[in-house]
Amino acid sequence: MIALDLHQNDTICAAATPALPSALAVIRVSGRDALAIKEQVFSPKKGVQKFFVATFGDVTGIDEAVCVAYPHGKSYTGEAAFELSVHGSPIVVQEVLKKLQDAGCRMAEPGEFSLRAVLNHKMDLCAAESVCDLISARSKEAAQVALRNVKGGLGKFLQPTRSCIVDVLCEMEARLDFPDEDLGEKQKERLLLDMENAAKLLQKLLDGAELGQKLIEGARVLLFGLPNAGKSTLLNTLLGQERALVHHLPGTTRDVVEALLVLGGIPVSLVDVAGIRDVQIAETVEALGIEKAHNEMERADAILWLIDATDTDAAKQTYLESLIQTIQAPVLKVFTKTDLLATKDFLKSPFEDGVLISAKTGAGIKELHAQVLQLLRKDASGQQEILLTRERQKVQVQIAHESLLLARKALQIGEADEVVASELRVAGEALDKLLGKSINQDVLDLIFSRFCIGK
Amino acid sequence: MNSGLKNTYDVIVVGGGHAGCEAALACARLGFSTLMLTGSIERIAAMSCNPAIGGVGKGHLVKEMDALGGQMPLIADLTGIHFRTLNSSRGPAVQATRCQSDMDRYQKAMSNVVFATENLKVRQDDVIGVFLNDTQHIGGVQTRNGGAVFARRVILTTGTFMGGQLHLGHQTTAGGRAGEAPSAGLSDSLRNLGIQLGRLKTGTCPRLDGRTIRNEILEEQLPETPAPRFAFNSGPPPLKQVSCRMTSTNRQTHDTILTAVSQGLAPIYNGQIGGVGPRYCPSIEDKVIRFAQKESHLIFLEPHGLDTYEVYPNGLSTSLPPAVQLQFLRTIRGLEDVEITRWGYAVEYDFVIPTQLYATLETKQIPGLYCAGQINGTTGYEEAAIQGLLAGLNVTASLQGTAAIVLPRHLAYAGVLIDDLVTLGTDEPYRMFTSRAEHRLLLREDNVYRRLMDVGHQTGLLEATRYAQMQAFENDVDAEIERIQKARIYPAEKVQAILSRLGSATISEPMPMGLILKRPEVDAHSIAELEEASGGVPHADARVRFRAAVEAKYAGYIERSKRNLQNQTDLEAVQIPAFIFDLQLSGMSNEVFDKLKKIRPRTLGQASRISGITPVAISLLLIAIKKGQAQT
Repeated sequence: MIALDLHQNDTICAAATPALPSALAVIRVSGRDALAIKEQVFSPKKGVQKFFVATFGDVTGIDEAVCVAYPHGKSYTGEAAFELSVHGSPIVVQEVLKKLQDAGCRMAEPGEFSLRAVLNHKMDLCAAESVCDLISARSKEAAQVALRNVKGGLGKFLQPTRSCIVDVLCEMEARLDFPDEDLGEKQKERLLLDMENAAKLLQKLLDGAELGQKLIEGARVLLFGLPNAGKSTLLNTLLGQERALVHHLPGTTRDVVEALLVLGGIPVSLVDVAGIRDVQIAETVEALGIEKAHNEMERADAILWLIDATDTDAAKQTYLESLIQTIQAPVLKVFTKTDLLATKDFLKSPFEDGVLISAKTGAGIKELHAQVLQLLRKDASGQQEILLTRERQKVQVQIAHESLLLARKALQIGEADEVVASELRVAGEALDKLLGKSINQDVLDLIFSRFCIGK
Repeated sequence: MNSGLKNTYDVIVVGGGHAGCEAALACARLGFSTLMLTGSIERIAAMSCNPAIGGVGKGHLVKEMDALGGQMPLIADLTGIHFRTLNSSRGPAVQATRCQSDMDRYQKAMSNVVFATENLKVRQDDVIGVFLNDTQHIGGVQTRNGGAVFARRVILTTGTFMGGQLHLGHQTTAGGRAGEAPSAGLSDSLRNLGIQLGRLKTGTCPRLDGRTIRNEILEEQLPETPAPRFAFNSGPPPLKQVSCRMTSTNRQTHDTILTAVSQGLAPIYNGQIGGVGPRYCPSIEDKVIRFAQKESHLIFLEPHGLDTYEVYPNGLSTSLPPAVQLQFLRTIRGLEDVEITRWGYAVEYDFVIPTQLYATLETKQIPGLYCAGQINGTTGYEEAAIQGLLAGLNVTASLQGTAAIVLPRHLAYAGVLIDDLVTLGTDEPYRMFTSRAEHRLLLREDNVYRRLMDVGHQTGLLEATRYAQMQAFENDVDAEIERIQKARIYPAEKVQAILSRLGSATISEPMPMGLILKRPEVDAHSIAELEEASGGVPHADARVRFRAAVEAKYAGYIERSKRNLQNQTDLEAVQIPAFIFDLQLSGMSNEVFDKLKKIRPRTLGQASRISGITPVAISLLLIAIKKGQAQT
């Protein structure tokens, strides 16, 4: 769901492209004062007809940019708006946004442009939501999942489960509401089986939810290890560019460095933090970085534990070992700098449960890709057609699943039928929140078509 | 004052059926001068269909009326001749009270109350129209014989009489009930004022001469002892209690009916009847055709009363021609020599499409005009009566300038009923089922006083002494729940024997009573037995015992239900301001928005229940509401 912000009179601005170095970056401005602000910050170049190309900023200028302006009613949001195409340096984008804010803009909340489009009747909410998914789809696979869901794939997938719930409810309800009818006894065993099958389908959906969410939201993979274990080098290798500062002195990476890459269809944020020694022995500035590293460990979906292959002294890893044990995320050991090892060393036992790589020669990098992917997709082995991509979808399916299991248990132990029905109803309503139907009417319709209710 | 007939009242109630009686009594008792206009004074509170009150869902409604200060439960208890608890072997939420009434005594007892009530006048006349005053508010009604009568509020409770048409075989006559003229003119008057009417049908059974039924060969259904009651502290039934009988149709019955239908003799199949009938109470010809695989249908033979030999064969509603009715009846076991006292018939009638009403039952088109009962598309005495009661309460609230009485769905079946009607409308006669209530575990007969006595008290309709008694009862229940949690059951020999009999595991050491009560095979009755066997003393009042045991036994599920409710009430809490419906919400399809404009839901919760209103539409409404708030 798009965040609701009600300060409709503000003029908002935001970068429409990610904060990564690239050829171009687009900055969007929308709102009542958009065009006045454009006049204030943007000086057109003479002789260019179609778009404005001009110096942005003061006399010295921040950048040369292309500007496309939209009058009220003609833009994506329906408001007066303009878009700037600037050079894709994060620094330039930052400066331009700063300039725009000085001129009276406010930074947009996530989804706020789409919200305004909905409010100004440029788009319906369904479209807005799918747009959000598609926009945030950072890989082909994610886009496909989003599109399939938008086209009703989720509804189709859930239909058998919902039918089953309606069906079982019908059997229970008919006997509850019409006790004087000769409807026969309910077939408990069949109902139990039906409920079990319905629950299995939901379980399957939940199993894939993590992957679905990762496809849309991306996963965080943390590079973890002692100082100088080669974390920054590996980051740069994976990205193919000098992203993090690499230095041979232990403790160089004091800040969290984050980089995006697509791994097997999953957008992955690769996170490089300070090398971890014991906080007590680290110098103060570095200690701050280490605290960040601890936080990152909590957030990570997977952890790559880098170990210098040339220094396999187990004692040095003891502190790290104790840290790892407090973390839920799956961990993969990565032995680095294998180019420095003699051939016979490869057979040593410490390397058995990890991947051996050399950032320098590229050896083992492909294998590393595969292993990381496996870590992230551990709970969705087969390629699934329909994936839950949003937390709110997942929550509803979880409610439905839990209630269905409770209903089944209640039926099994001989609890009152209306208790079973009550849980089934909760399950049905949760699915209906996803699908937008009414369980009450469906149950009654089924009762009257199936049973002869005579009095 | 001149000496002519008084012709100005606070409230006019048009109709003297079950809705009309409750509405008129509520208004008069709360101090407003009220006139009941009825086509036939002799037929006030007549039970025109089956001789029973209550049942699953319906019994719940009757008990709700008791907590709200209604009359039906008192009269039903006074005149019942056979009481039963339906679903007694199932859980507490679907257990429901039902009684067979002495129809004649019921009607007389209720009309006696009507005539004895201060501020309430009764007049026999036909209402042929309603009119507005110069502020476009309801002004009063036009009667056939007495001219215009003026009132500040009008409640229409005309049942099946508007545009009523009776079908009996090929014969079609105008009428609201057998032998009674329809209310002509009223339909046109409402249409002229912009109110949309629909058409429904319902049927009734032929009545039998009980002396020609071979009761001795039929299965007997005994009344329950002690008799369950509708009203609080009713005491034992004053009338003699009698049995019903059961029989069933057979292949020969079905063949007789099918032959008649194939000859074009059934009005519902030869195109004579256009209105939509209820799916749950179909005519016997409907049942035989739609459920061809079913060899037999159950028939309950219900006595009309103690002083009459007429019998109602429940399950045999029909509009087949008289000769066919007699022919198929005589194929049924026990009815081989039966004589018919009245023919079954179907009635078609106009109803006010109820989505034109607010949840107060006031029409949206005409301020001050209210509709209650079968005119709103419902069926059943109980559904009608509780609407009458709530219409009456809302009329008095509006006259007093106090808050409207709108019961939420989680508080009362009455709330479910009215919310369904005004939100979803209905395309068949609407009957209450417990499955219509999403918070069924919270809406039980046993906790009705906890749910509604405060509302009854606040409106002033529930007598103070009765309210005090109900409060005392609920306090006893609280104390008993606490006691149950503390008490223990000891592994005495007798205890083990009872547990084994129940199919429950025996105990090896003292166990908390509350824990044993949670076992599915142990219920409110057996736990008292166990306590006694264990040397304890169960609470003396069986009603307190039952109610406390239910609360304790189902505490977990009730708690879950409440939590689930909590999640849903968020939407209920968001009021939809009227200006929303004047906006252009083009993000929404026209169809959806037209529906919203027509129904004008009060809350987002109500809006979300309108058919075809998607979560997206609800989100858009929410955005529009917040946007509106931000602007003002």
